[in-house]
Amino acid sequence: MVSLSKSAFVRPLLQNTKVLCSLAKLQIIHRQKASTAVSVAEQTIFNEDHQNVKPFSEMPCVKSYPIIGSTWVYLPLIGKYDITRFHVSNFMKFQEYGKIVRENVGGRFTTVLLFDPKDIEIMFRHEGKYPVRVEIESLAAYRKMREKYFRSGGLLAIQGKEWYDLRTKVQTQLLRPKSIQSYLNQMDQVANDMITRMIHLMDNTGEVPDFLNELYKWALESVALVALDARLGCVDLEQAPNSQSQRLIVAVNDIFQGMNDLEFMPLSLWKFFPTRSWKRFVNAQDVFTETAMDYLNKALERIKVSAQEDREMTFLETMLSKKQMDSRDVITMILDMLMAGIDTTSHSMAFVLYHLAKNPNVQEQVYQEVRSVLPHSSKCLSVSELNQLRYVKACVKESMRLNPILQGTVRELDHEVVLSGYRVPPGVLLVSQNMVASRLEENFPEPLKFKPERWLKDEAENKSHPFLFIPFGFGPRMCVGRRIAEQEIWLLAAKILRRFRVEYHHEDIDCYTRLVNAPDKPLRYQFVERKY
Amino acid sequence: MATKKLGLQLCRTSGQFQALAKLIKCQSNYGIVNSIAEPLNHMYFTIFRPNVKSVRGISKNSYIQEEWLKPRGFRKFSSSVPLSKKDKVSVTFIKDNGEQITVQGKVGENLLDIVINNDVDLEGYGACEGTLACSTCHVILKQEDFDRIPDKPTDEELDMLDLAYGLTERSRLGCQIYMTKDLDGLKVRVPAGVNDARDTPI
Ligand code: HEM
Ligand code: FES
Repeated sequence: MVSLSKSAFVRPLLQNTKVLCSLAKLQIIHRQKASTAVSVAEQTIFNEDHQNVKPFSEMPCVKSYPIIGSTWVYLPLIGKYDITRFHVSNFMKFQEYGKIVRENVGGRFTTVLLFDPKDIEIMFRHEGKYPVRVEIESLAAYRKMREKYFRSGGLLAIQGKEWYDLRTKVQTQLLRPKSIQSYLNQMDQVANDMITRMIHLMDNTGEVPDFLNELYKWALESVALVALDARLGCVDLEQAPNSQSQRLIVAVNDIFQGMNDLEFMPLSLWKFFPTRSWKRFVNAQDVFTETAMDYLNKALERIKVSAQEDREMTFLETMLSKKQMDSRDVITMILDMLMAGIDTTSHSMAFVLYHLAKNPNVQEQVYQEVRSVLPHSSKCLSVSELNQLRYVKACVKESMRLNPILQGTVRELDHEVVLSGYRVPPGVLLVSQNMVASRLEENFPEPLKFKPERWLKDEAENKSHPFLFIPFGFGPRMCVGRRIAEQEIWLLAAKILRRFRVEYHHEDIDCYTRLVNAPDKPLRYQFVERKY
Repeated sequence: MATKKLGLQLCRTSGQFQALAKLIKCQSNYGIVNSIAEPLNHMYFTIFRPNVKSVRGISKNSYIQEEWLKPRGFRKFSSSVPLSKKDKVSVTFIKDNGEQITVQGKVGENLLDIVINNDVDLEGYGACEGTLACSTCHVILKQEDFDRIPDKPTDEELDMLDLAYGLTERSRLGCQIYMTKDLDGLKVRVPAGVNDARDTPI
């Protein structure tokens, strides 16, 4: 006890002088840029100086009871928050409690919701070398069960040095902006095939039945180019009923439904005995694991015969040729990419098209831009042409601001930090609330309007706090599939808008929370073919 | 200028002609020409093989230049620029406490490579290994240096710079500054705070 209070007293003093020195220099730097961000050091020092740091226990807290925590607030009838609409329930918490609120979830762990971008920045500045993000339990459990294929739970699930070792083996090939460009033409082909398929499926009003499912196929086909080194045939016009592509598509839906049921049910019965959802989830995972094994073996064969060939190794071949990489690591990575690369990209694409359909003037500008870069609609885009699509990219950003795939990012820190004037102990689950914060007037003027101009670098008027907009996360643990996802989305968006005018004449679409945010209504877009 | 004839095969998809062509006598059986004939007397084509820089052009007679198809061997998948020259250059990193560290690097290397190869003591620098995810490789340049760096920041770099700690008008990300002979003797400042903020508890 004594030693604790003593160090608590001495440490802030020591820190103060250190931070003060650097602060003086920092301010010189800071003057020059109209960055609205208050630096971490300033934040910290402000709090320390005024001795007004409050203990964690004083932080506003969502009402909870000892054993079940605050889970009751999500139960039907008696609860007031809707568990299927986190963006709404979290906005209600923001209104009720303010820009920081803690919550005891399921009596198991404590979370703190961060609505203030300054706190979000502090969270990231303190994440350290091995940022910790909570795992998806069902995925980790499956992989543990199939130990012969998986050495670890994969990037999505593991932590610490183990996570870093796996990450460092794959990230340079996946995340350096140039690295994914070698797949540009093949992704372009997938986009063209997707459009051919859309035309084939369209009814006479220009609607594509079950369009979201078609987007899943496109996303799977695109990410498989990198992950499996193959065209699976998911967007082909003809598909045999029991083909591999069809089985994969069924499995995709089972996996998402499964993970959703397993992760979000108030009681995790599946951990005690095999429930129906768990069995369905395992079957679907097995389909993916078998497919991945299949393509991994093909790639191994190819490496043997390709020694004389004139080409650069693919991502998959490179991973398989790395001495430090076990084939179980490769399987894990491939499956992570397939798991994380389908609903994310396709839902993002769905929202981009939705916002453009609802904003015909913006869509017209997109069309003009794409037409000038791409006079012939089905031609392959080059890297430099892709870079010219500035307005398209701004639209994708604006759509991700309003409808990000995740509410925000999760981190667990290994040391205490001060957030909004409260001491937050280590081990608490910090959840940044970017989606809610991005819809507040104080952060973005006319927040609910779809205005891609906000993101055009030289035209943007007053800059928003940079940590409001991090749809792929930030730091060493940022989404490793970001370049793949962005390239896919830019290409398909450009190609669809080059070819069609997109309209939507039904009820407004919002999102609901599955594992990720999903459109809550069928995507009944009408695609009207342009004449020129 | 040597040319090669393409074998063409036309098929109709959704109202457009698509010409699928196979390269004749190309050494690699991965050589595929994807081409779009639109209108038919012009042919826009892209030759692509997995992970080889694609070749694009317009042909009126389905001939292409031979040099586009030159073999380059089965190579490691890499995204870095091949080092053209091995010329040595020096770079000075100025730490927040005023300490100056001068080290040698090669033309074609970026500042992060140079920090790593020389084991420069900058705690927490380059946490994402140059994948443009972290902005911990932030450096501040003198105006004239800032202006003479040949590679202007890409959109990806600008997005990440926005998130850098203590951003200035002359900030760049070190992992994106590739050394040229002309930049020999470059001095950059590594701003304070990155390390303080990351590693010390409050
Ligand atoms: C628009 C599409 C996507 C969005 C919005 C998205 C978003 C995210 C976010 C927010 C994270 C957490 C980052 C953090 O904690 O800082 C993440 C992690 C991850 N994403 Fe994505 N993602 C997308 C597409 C993809 C794709 C296509 C892949 C396939 C390669 C992928 C693979 C991953 C993996 C493996 C991780 C875990 C990384 C790690 O913990 O080291 N994602 N994603
Ligand atoms: S090292 Fe992470 S952005 Fe440069």
